[in-house]
Amino acid sequence: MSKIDIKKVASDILDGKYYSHTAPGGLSVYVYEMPDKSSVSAQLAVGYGSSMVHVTDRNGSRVKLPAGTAHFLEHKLFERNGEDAFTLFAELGSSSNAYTTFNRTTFVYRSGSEYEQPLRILLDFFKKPLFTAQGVEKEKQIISDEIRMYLDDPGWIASFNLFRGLYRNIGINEDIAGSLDSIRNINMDILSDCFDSFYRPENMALTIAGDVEHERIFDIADSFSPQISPVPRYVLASAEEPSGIFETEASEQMTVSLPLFDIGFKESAYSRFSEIKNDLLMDMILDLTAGESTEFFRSMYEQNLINDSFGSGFYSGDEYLCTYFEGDSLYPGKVRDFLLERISELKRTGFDPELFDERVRTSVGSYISIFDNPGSVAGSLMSCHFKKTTLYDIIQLVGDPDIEEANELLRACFDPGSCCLSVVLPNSSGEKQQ
Amino acid sequence: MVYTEKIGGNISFSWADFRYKRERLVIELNCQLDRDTMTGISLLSYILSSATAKYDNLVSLSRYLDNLYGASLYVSSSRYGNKMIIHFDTDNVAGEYLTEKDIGIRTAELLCDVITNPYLIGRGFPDSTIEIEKEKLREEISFLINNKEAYCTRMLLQRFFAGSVRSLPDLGFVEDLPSINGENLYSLYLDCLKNCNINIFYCGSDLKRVRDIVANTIRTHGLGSVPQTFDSSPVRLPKEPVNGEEAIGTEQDIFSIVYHTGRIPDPAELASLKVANSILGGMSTSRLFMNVRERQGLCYSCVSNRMTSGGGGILIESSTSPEKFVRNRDSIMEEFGALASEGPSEEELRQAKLSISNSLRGISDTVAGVSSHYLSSINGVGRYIEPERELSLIESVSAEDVKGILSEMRYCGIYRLHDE
Repeated sequence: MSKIDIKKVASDILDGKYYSHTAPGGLSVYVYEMPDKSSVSAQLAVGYGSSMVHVTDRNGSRVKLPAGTAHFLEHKLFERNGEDAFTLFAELGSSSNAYTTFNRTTFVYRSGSEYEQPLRILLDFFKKPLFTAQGVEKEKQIISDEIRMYLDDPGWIASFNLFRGLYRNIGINEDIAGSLDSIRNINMDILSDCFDSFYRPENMALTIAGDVEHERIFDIADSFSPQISPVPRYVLASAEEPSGIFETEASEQMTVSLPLFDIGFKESAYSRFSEIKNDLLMDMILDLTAGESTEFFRSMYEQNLINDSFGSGFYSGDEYLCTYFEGDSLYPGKVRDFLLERISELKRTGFDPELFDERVRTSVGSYISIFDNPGSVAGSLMSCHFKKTTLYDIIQLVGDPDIEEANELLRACFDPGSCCLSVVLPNSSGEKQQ
Repeated sequence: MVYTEKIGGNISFSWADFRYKRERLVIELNCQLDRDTMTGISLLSYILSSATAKYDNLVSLSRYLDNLYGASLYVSSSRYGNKMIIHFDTDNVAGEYLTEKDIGIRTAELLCDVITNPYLIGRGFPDSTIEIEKEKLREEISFLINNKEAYCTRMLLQRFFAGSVRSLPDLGFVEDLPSINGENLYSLYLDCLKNCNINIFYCGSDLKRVRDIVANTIRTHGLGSVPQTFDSSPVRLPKEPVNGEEAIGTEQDIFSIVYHTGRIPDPAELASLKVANSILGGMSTSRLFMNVRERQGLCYSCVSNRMTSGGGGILIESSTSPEKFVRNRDSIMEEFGALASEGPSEEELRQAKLSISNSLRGISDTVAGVSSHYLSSINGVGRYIEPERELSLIESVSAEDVKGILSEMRYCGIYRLHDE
């Protein structure tokens, strides 16, 4: 079958190519052919995640969905009308999984050379499942146990206490799986309405990488025509997040050997740069501020203020950008204070050009590494889809960033007034272990 | 395909066909596991990864790695049976994709330098560095409690292996740290270098030059004089199940259960064990997942794992709310008992074998997959079993084999963490 909209994207440098196509229903499909690989990795993702709790209904009224709805839906979709999707994939020798993040819900499988049947099962996630009251109640039990499991994870607790300190309305301030209270309010109707509203082909993408043929995959994707509710019940609404933060410090006690900390900043959402450029620059800025190649890291390490667990990162969505530094330390307050001093100094001086150039080389190395692994390629294609760029466009951005732009972004971020320190302190059981 | 040749004495150099964008060089020093030296060996991994004679601090070493396009350097210590392994590896982008073609060579030279030219002051490692890293190790040892599942399993295995070196904690003992200084630690390291055996694995684009660099380093420094051995001594099972519990204020009841044959499996038995574990709790359609979690809703997490360094055992880990603990535990044990007495269905067997086979075929997709398969085979069964050979062993596993290996296992104990 010939398709006039197939786009081929190629890279001479990496000696690779992939194809993209929009299926008749609106699903975006990306295929990266890797003929020398034995496994095939595929992802089907929907742009609906746990942070998206604010919606307007058909009457234009604002509604707040129960926290954990996206995650609950992910669980229920893996149970296909009484059949467990895990079983369907396993019968074909494929492993499968699903996960929900703040912005997305993703279903994945990994197979051997027989990839077409698993792909058909994956695309079945398009089809609306039959929700039953009994099935929903049973799932609540399993999800309750999952929520309790996270409550025993000190790193998780430190992160979500941080988000609650920084954000009031944006849904990242609630656990991805929701709370024991919020999931009680989830029912068949909510799940059904959210499925109709968000599991729409134009809000989804399929990526696949491995020893596959793009034309076969496009044919299979084209043959699936989901029934779409003509008018979605819900449309995403702004969270109307107030400016400013709500706690400068948050703490909780658990059985840990050493305090865990998260130092986070509520940043203004995206600047004048594209989202992908912002992401790449932010990665570099965080490393250049406190990564292992900095004298700052060495000094903190040698003073025993941090250890190997120290790291940094950021979360971003349409309405939020949250940067953070995390680790374990006996003195989390000192770490925060030194970090703020370090940032203040960097804002004055800008980054050292030599260090900046060295960090660029690391980015180049990391970028090339993506292309060894079908799973990484499928995941990166998906990120590119949602960030509205192509996998190879990133080469230019990675290889030739501008230090002045990095300095500009640095100066726009890490406002001390938007900083919260979240700490998990040892309780008496944890202290006994030391 | 993996090839091996001797590069002097008892030392083998293995390499795999290269068709990747990243290259990897791994050198493992296998030392005798001993109560008195294990803390020092654990500390060595911190010291050696922080500086070399040429790059004498963490920053200069990290910046050099950045210059090598983000090459990674990793030094760690781990236990396997009666061995304590110091593991060194580097990973870098192949020069073919860069303007500087010699990145792999420079990275290999760095790794050899890390091993043979550490940063010294006088006759030992700098005492200032030792003091800093001792504190980090002390924190790391006590940090285990933060990961409740890992802590629970560690407590169980400590009891299960009581009286043997396998019961020793992974990273050593806090009480050993005060007596370690730069000089005695360096002396221990020299001893390790001499009295160890060495496994080397390379997968990259410049085989000849990298092999020459590594061989020259080993010859010049006289490393690895001890022949390769493999500990296949039986595991002494406890007379009674080693049950234990601890109230540490957890939201859920977290527990681990161990079953064991008391033997180190040969490659064919290992294949049976892998299939048995997949069916029991090692895959998403396992009996534990489908029956205990999905059908009965007794927990969110319930998995089984084959013991990789403790012989023919299976570890089951689960967590659930306190009121469901007894039913959850009993249900898990019933599932084990049913599989051991009745064996798997043909469909379960087919699915498990297909899943394992697909994973084995996927090993060759990444350089990390090839190297870790090679090393886990060498460390786990004492010799390299090619994925193709493993595939045929997996293929030949029957329902009777699964039943046989599980029915040979004894329930050896449970450890539980709970609130009050």
